[in-house]
Amino acid sequence: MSESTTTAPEYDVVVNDEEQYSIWAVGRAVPAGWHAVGVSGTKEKCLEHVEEVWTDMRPKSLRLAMGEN
Amino acid sequence: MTERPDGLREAVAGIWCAMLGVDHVSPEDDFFEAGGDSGLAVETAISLRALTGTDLDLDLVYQHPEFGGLLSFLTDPRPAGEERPLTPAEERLWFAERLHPGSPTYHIAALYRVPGRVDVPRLRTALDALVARHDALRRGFEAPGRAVTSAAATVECRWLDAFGLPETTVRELIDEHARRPFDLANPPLLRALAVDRGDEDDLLLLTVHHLVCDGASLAVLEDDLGRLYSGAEVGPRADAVAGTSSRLFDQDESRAYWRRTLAGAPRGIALPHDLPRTASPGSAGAVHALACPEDLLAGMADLAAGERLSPFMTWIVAYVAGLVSLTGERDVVIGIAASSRTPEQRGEIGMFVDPVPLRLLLPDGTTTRDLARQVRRATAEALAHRGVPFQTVVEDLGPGGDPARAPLVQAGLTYLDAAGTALRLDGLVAHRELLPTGTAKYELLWSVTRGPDGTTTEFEYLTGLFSAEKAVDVHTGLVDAARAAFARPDAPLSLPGRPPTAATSHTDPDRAATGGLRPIPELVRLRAAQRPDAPAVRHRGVELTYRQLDERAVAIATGLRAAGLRRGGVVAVPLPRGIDSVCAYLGIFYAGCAYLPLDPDQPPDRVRTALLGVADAVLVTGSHPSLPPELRVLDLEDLLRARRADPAVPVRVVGEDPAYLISTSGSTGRPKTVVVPHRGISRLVPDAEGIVYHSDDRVAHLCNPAFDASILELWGALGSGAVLVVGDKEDALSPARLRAFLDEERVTVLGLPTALLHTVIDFAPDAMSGVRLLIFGGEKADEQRLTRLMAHQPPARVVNVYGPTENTTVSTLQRVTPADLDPGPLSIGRAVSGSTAYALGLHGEPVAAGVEGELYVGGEGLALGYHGNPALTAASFVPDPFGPAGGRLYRTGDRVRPTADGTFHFVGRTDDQVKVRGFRVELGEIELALRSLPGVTDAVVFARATADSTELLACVTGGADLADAAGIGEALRTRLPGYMVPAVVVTDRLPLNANGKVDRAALLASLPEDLPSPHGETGPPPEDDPLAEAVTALWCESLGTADARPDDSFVALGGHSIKALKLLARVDESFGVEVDLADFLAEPTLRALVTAVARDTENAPTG
Repeated sequence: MSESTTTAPEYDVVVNDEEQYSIWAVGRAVPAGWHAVGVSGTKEKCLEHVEEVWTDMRPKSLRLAMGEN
Repeated sequence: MTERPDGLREAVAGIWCAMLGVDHVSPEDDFFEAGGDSGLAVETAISLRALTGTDLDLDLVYQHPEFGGLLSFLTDPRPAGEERPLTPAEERLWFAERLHPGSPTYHIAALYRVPGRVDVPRLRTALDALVARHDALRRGFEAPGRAVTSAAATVECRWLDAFGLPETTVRELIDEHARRPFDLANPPLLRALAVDRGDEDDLLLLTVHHLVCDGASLAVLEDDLGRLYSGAEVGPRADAVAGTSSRLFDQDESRAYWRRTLAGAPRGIALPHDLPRTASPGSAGAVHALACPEDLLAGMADLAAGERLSPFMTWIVAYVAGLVSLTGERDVVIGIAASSRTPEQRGEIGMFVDPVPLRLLLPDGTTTRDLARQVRRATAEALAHRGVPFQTVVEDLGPGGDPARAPLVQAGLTYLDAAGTALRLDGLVAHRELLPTGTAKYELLWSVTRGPDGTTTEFEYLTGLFSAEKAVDVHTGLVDAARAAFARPDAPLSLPGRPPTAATSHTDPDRAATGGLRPIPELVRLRAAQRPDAPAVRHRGVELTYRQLDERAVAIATGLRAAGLRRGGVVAVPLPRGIDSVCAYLGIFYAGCAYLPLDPDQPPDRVRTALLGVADAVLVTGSHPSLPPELRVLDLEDLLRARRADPAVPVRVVGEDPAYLISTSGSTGRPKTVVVPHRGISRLVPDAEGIVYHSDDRVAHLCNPAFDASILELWGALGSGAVLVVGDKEDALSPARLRAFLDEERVTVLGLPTALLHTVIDFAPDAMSGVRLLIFGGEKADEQRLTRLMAHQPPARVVNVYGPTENTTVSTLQRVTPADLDPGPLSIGRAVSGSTAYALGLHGEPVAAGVEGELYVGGEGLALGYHGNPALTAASFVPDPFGPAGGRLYRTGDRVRPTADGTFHFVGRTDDQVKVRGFRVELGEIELALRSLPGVTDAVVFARATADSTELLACVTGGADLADAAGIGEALRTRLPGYMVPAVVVTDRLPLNANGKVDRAALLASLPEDLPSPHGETGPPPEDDPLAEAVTALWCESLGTADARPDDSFVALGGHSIKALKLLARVDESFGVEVDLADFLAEPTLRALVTAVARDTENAPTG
């Protein structure tokens, strides 16, 4: 499908304090505890970005807990 | 005029004398001759208006200047029995009365503890004078709906000598008196009971019907009765002068307002009741009362002062904040009582209140202050438009809502300031206590009373919906939420993100002591320390104690550590159910790793796919061919044999540590692997609300370990110190064997996939009579079968569970009782402890009750995500706007309809994932597997609902080298697990729709109801004998096909194990022959089945 004809809703890539990523429709207030990382676009584009940056899927609290072990 | 109530005579005489300054009056005295002038005449008329509560002409005294004539007119001002139609407020109560005749729902029973003696003759006189004074107290109600005001009426006033009677007996007599029905046609709808208790204070009970009295009237009644009793002057009331009528909008304007305001409003509120809703929850009710905490009052006073709210408005804010917190509703309609009493009517007893709906919308982030401002506006508007009767408001909305519930408003609020009121009987001051009538006017009514000794909140509820314990929980929850809301007026209102019950529903003191949920391995170690010699696991008569289980798990953990596995590692376990597999899982936990259970009966290809890139090691027993060479393969036997002198200390894990991974069907043809953390299991077993395991339980382990329902069995048993009783595949596959297994092993907790439960109910409904807790789920249950189960010594507790693996097995649950099966489809219940569930619309907004939405679930059970698949995880686990900051919700893809009571009904899928015998199946995965077969050019797979489960059908097109349907089925079995193998139909072409895609609907419609045999219509009957014909008939019936051939394979034709089980059960039923399932599956042809049946019936004359 071509970029020019798409009217699909745009998304923001968002991340929480556990450094878990998700996507959130542009225009809706981002829920508390989440913030946009500054990447937006089609769902596919956003998910591609997530695929690149979310390399360690463990929640941050778990990584910290394991680091203490 | 024959009778003349003395009370009235005295009262009129009192006014006459006061006006004229005389101390005595005779019937022939003339007002004007005795010195009265026009001013006094008008004053007298006004006083008499107040006295009688009627709209007397101001020139009354001119019309009847003689005292006797005046008195006669006042005693009987109109022809007897003046009729008028009902007012809307009366009509509503009248209707309720006709619906439940004789119900005390609308009795107002006021009990007074009089510090002294009640003079009963004086009380009688005073009551009669009271009735003479107030029209409403002489009013009766007649079918089909008329109010008839009598000229006179006498109050039933009883005296009870209760000296020496026990307190409880007195209370019973009082309750009986308060609840005894009124004859509504026979006024007065007021009666009194004076109770003499000897040395103790007298009691006075006044019971009056709401049709003629309301909260404000009660104060008038007390005031007037006290004066009449005490002989004080009941003179003109200061407030009886004409005041300004409050401005109301005209009817049309108001009706338009209500239509506009209530457009699209939810017709039912989701109340957090614990009892299942039946078609008619009745009107039986009870009341729970709480003294309102000071800090709440203080918080309310602060906000009220800042936002200029009346006390009533402030209580509305408190109520709505509480309801939002308890129900999660964002669009709330409550009923408030609005009085139509005009200032002129301030001194009247009567029924002036009608409910007014108040709709409040609470989008994300609404604060208490926002709510307060909304309440202020909405209340002012609603009161200005209160001229429209409630029924009219409802009728104007059009049909809708649950007919079993009250229309539009099921939650009400009343507020009464009774601080200044009292019944004063000659210096004895008594305060009223309103008695519960054993009924409820709403599903939930919060009645707030400000009394002389503080403010009390009363929670009146339908006992058909709330248990007494739940009512206490909900009431305290309401008050707590209101406190929180007023303590932080500028913070968003709290939603039931973490139900307050979640933290308290785990009752195990061992767990409570840790202040959180103990990870399962720690809990099992604790059980081993507590009762080391108690049996932990048994299989085929072999038993392992908790100590032995712990030792073996330590040995396995030691071996895994030695092999280099570390915390967070993933170990695959392709082992069948048994003691070994259980030890392996626990050992993996002790090593700080997560286990990946795999069905060893799956095609090797699929096992490999599930392992690759996921598992760090595989734990096997004996030789295990065809494992990928790059995997570290460890033999369980080796680990156990090599007991080391320095056993590893179990690794401590936290709630976020991965516990297990489950490989589920993925539409891309690659399985999705869900990573579930320890907290997910811990929030569910062993003591989640509704599914609690006990240490004396015997828990069946019959579930395929690769299926996530197995965690309930495994960790429910071992986490509670119970016995895990392992069953073999065969034990679960025949109802007769299952019954034998349950009996022999004395199983008390059993989990079954819904489809298998159906079969068991069909063939052995009494098999589960010894079971204490039956848990089922995976597919939609058949209410008729469950009804049958309920009629056959059912398990003590039957629970329907729903939930995707991504939220740890159980997201919602519903206890099944016979009552649930009556009205309609069984719901999937409400969120399990520690979890949340929301039905959301396309834009993530909560949908109203009855409206379809996608189910989003969250809370402690939420999986970490999909292993190695960040994009899919990010797309499926989305930010949670309702719960704690930073939380996520899983989009289930399941369409549900929330009901008004907070439960969910399953509607369907948003995609083409289906459930087959409890397993999640992506049709796309099957299609990919079909297309990969030689000769296949295209394939479409459907799921079709059958009477008791779901069947898969595949339409396949291909070239000349395409195998026949049976061959395709056999080929698929090497690639897919049995439950994913569809019945195959080979067609010439697949119809396309306008978009060039396969027209699935047309294709499905073109398939006959009964799937034709892939061999075509030419199949001859298998054998020329009646037995074979009869077996064939059962065979065809079971497969849903029209004909069959001797060499047809049951399995290749899509006959899965449950179908096979039913076939064999039918065979048993018809021929008295028990064919072993394992034998049948070993050679699943029609010929073999006929042979087996014939062999066992060879002595019978079957030819």
